[in-house]
Amino acid sequence: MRAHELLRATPAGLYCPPGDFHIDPTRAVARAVITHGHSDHARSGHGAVLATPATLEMMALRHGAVRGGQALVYNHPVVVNGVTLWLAPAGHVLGSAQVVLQMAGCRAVVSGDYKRTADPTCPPFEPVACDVFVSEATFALPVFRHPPPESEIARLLHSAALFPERCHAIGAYVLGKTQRLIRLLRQAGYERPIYLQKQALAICALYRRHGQDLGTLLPAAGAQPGDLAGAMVLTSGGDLALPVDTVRGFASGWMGIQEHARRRDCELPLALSDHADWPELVMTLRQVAAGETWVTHGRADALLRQAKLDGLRVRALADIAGEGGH
Amino acid sequence: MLWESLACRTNPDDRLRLLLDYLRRVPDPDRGFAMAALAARLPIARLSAARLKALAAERVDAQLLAASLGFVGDGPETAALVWPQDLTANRPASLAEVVDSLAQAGKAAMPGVLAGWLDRLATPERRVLLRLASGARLFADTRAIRRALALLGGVDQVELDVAWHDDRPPYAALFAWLAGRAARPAPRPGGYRPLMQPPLLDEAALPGRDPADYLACWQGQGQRALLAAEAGIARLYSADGEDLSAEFRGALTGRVGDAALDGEVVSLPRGGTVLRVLDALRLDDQDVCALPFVERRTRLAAWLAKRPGGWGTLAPTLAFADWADLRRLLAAPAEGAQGIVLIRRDGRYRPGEVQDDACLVWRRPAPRLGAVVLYAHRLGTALAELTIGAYGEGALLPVGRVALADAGAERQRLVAWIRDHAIGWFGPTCQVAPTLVVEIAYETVSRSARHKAGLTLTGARLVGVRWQAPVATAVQLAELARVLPR
Repeated sequence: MRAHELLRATPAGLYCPPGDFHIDPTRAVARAVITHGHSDHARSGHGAVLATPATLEMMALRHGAVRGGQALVYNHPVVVNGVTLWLAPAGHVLGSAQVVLQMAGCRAVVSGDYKRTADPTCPPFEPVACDVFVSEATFALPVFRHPPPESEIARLLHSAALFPERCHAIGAYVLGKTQRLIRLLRQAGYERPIYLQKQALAICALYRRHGQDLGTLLPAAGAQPGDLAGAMVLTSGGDLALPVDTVRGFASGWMGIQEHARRRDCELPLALSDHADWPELVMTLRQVAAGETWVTHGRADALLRQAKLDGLRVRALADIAGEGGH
Repeated sequence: MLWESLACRTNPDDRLRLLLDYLRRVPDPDRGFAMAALAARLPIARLSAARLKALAAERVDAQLLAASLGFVGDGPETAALVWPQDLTANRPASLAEVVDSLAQAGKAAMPGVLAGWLDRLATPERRVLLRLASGARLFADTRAIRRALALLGGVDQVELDVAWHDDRPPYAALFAWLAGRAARPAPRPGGYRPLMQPPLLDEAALPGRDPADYLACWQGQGQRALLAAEAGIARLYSADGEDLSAEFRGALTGRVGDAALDGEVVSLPRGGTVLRVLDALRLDDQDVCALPFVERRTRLAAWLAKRPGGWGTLAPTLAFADWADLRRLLAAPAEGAQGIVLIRRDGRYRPGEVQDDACLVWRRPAPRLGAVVLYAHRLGTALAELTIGAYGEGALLPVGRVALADAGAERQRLVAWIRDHAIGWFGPTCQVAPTLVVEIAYETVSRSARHKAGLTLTGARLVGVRWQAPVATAVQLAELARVLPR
């Protein structure tokens, strides 16, 4: 079997014709395999959903009960309409998975979002040899080299120690980044309560059910501005009354570039990402050594150039989808 | 790392605390070199943008470099980010090692030496090194550095300022003095001396003062400067210690006689400049700071009279019998004057910030108006300035810039407003929807060929935000044109 018979780019997202299911579809479909719980991958309204237990729970938390939900643990193959399918850890957030499809000697891996840096909240990415590898490209430029997470946490804690009377409010994505920041802070010895918004607290409760020790977490909404003086607050947007002299930070892979930190008027930019940086992308493509890599979610030009230098075959998924239309 | 932390903070107290923390943690001579790097006083040759690009292209594929530069926009920042670090190579032992080798490398060898270090450094260090090599200024607030150093040693700010200006990186003598290991370095003859910085006059306290105790002169008509001449060599320093000699080389050549004079460099109507001398710290080889002002002025007048046709002229005093006279003068000040400086006849010359009534500045009341916010500008890393505009002939035209720091408690709300109303970014400039009126205090309206409006507000500063005011209430260009000097 050839790769494009096993996996095809369609307007609704990646589709497996023999298995008759979509992967991370962009609209409601009959049957979906979901790589992880972020809303641009896990949409609501599908007829049936296959995902890891944690991802299904996240979807239920966000959209209510998931219709036709089928939980599948890592590296446990099932057969769907003759296609052997299993989920491999992607190292992105709790429950994140690569979808491995195999049929008639052809294997495709849809990695979803992934990173290679160790993350205390999820098992590490496992490279799976394959014929087609679908990779994200969020940070696919050589300028993106995320510093070690420990150094970013050390900067945050240094500021908290140097300005002990001031609230530190760090903007962080509510699912994944927030919980990883908490675990990294705890690992670095920060034991004081951490203040969160309501939605983040609900997701933290889910992480706790999956064995993550997050320490004492308190609702930021109920706190008086006086309580927040000298406290650590993780925010994910929305209204939150913070003390006037709050040190404002932001945790994102984009913060590695000063210009982006400037535009956010951010006093404490933390280059902390749940996506692979440039060296990780290049290393992964070399490791997986797929017959062909399809690039999605981000910019493809630099990876295409690097693949040419490495003697690998890489195509932009957008171009492949375009060919399908003819 | 220190620079990156500093660059993101706008609060002066925060910067001071970060600097002090660094100075206490980092040993010599690295902390000295770090301060020199911040203050742009490191002796490193400059690398052109083209040389820098060529250097980066030796390490990174040209196409990947071009894509990166297109995304980031800034040459040194891009090079710092894409430069592949050789993790197997030894890291430099110290900042001193890096600076020494770069300073000693000739112009031709410098790029190679630089590249060798870049291989062995992490991104934040590469960023600083490349910015320095490209000639970019790291940190504008050199005063914060000097304040932190004075606090570190618990020494007098004036003495510190002199020692800082006299010493060279890595400031071994300075740090030895601050640590109590050595005596205060002797001030270099003809070097920089801090000028007297008088406080602003509190008008409410005027009735308790006797006008007869003071002499008065116009203030703020030009740039405040110190002329320090020793052994036939004259140098001109700004009040902050910046060496302006190169700018005024023509005026300074041929100067004879040793002195340290406090004055203002004033532009003459028919071109050229003159140093309007207000006071003297030293005349010939005598320190006159301890003499009463009237005595200093008499000697200064005699000293200047012996040098007719020289660059320096004595600043004239204003005739007044009582405070009401001065208030009347302030209502219609001399060309360009910001106010009046009052000096006690019996007052000594005291360098640095003066806290009593020996010397006072009476600022003329600043007129106010409402103007529309047009653009916000980044300076360093944070949003720092606003371009404000007025209506003329149906269009909004820029009439000046104001510092965002003056917004005080309103700053954060204003920054949020700018983010929410941004129309587009052009490099460091953000265009906003012209719907917000801010209150501006200014010194004067002056003609300007650089402004489309033909005029600009000098000394404009932000005093408030009129959140609810409709844009139609902002000032009209025609109103500003009426107060232009003829």
